Amino acid sequence: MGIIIKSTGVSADASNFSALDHAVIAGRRAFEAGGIGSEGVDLLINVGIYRDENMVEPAMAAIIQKALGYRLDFPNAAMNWSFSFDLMNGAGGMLNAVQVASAFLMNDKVKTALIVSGDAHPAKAAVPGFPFAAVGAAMLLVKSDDARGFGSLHTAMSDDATRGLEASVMCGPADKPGAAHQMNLRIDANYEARLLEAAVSAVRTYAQTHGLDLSRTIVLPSQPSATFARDLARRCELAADHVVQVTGLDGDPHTSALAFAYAQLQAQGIPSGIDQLLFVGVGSGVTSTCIAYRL
Amino acid sequence: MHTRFESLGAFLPEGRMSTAELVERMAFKAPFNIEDITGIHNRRVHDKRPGHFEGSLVLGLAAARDCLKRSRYRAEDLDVIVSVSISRMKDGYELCFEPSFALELKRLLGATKAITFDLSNACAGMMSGVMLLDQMIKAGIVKNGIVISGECITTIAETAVLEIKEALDPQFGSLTVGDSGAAVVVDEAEDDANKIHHIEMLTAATGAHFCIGKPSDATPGIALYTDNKQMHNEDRVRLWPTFQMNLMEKWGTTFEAEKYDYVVQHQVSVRAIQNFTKFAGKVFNTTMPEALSICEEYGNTATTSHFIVLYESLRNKRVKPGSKFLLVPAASGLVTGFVGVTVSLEIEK
Repeated sequence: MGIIIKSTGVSADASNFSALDHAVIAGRRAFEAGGIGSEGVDLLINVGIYRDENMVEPAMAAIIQKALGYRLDFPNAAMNWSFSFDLMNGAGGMLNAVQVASAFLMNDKVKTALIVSGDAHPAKAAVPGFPFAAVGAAMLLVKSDDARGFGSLHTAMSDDATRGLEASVMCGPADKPGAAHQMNLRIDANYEARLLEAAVSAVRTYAQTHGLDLSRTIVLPSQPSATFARDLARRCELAADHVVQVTGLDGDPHTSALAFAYAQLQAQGIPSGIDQLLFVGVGSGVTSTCIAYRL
Repeated sequence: MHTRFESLGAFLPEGRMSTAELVERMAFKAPFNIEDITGIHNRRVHDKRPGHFEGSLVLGLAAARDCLKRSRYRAEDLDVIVSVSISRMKDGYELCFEPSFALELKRLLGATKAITFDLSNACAGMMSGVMLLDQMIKAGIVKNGIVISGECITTIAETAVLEIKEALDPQFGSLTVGDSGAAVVVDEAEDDANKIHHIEMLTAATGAHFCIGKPSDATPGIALYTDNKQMHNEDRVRLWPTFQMNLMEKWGTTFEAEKYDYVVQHQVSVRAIQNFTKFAGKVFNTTMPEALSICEEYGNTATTSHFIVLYESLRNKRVKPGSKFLLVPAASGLVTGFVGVTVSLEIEK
């Protein structure tokens, strides 16, 4: 018995700069692909970080649920309900959400869970220097009755003094109004190099701890740059096509990266001889979050 | 298997501000008395002095340390840290998005092995965090975890003071909030003395836009815009008792059979607490247990409110040991639900 990805959806219309829109479009596509109709899902977790106008309340998940249009009130004709919230942990949030949703699914507390993400500059416009692509993604998770599905989660944190990347806005009485439309990013010059080190360490540690045969595994990592997958493959001595590089996006898909990588791999077809995937989220902190997926 | 509140912690800043002082500073003179309407006389406010600034992280950290002080677990024993602050303010009102607050708390506490993430679910954040830990422990994924919240939330009151211009202004609710920190360790229950009997939550997303918090465009701070008419109309007030009734019928139990000693509502205002409880009594067709309230002195402390009530009631010996509480979240989203929990923890005066 395991927790499997029933379907995915992605949203990457480059003319749309609403994190919320992207999350909703991706969610709708995951519903369509997963055969979810107007009944919706039991649990929705949004893992996006950069939200429209830097909203802090309510959970974006509630607004996404409303836009997806299911179980909007209680009581209703079907007497069902849903629970929605945001889980935020940068690029690794998707995998934390997988672990949380897996708990709900394993306990039969819920039958269906949608993990959705969407990031865009809070100004809802293209802003020079903002490294993240305006995109969204979604994964529909259900319980399977076989051995397929997610393994256990591993996380690690660097001991370095700096966080690699910090994102914030100033909202004090001495600041200028307008924080709803800004995002201040402090990115260390060696941030990508540190992310690579964290990813290399995560892949090696996970493979060693769980006896993962990397020759039969495809790695789906975060996508901080267009060369990250290639560099990770080289450092881990993996075949180049065993590490997925997401293509066709203008920037880092951030919290959506792992779902994008999975959707792209599914679309291309998983090569024969592969029986495991390894999701590797690396991001600010510097942290790594890592989970295997048995096909 | 049941889980429990293994330890509770809180931190209330020393600074105080009365409702009268807050209202006095408003340019707009309301045609009603806010203190009379809400029953809120005072609230705690964070220290604003450079070098002593009590942002959300500082408040949450102090509450977590207080919580671990009377827990069997040391920081390095913790499996999970969930930070649920709405305000996510660091020094000098820096509203943070990355890295997670939970990661910063992990470093500051020395919780070397903990999985960390932030959770955002408006004022239902702490209860949502408890529900996640309850599920993760029951699934055998982890053994324990801590939910932490620091709320440097009176920033929205400051914005409201500057911006309220009319009697039906959507920022009036912002005047009720108070600053605080709270933390709770959750692990597997060992006996009936400390036990979470049930924890259920739902999101009625039809009301997702009734209450929105974001940086203001008019002044520098965070603002909260609440459609009070929509938030507190009868359909909304009916949500929780209808949900609980429905589930209890499925479980083959009744409200009375659960023998709750106290009900703890979200601390919106004294009148709202009384109204919610009275209305529920009609739906459940029973005499409701006593509704505890601390909002008179601490205001609405957002995510921490139910836990500040528990903490203060235990600390002041206001409740008898081994009492069974019904905690009822009510949050933007809209989120409601119910948590039945027996608590026998001792909190020193």
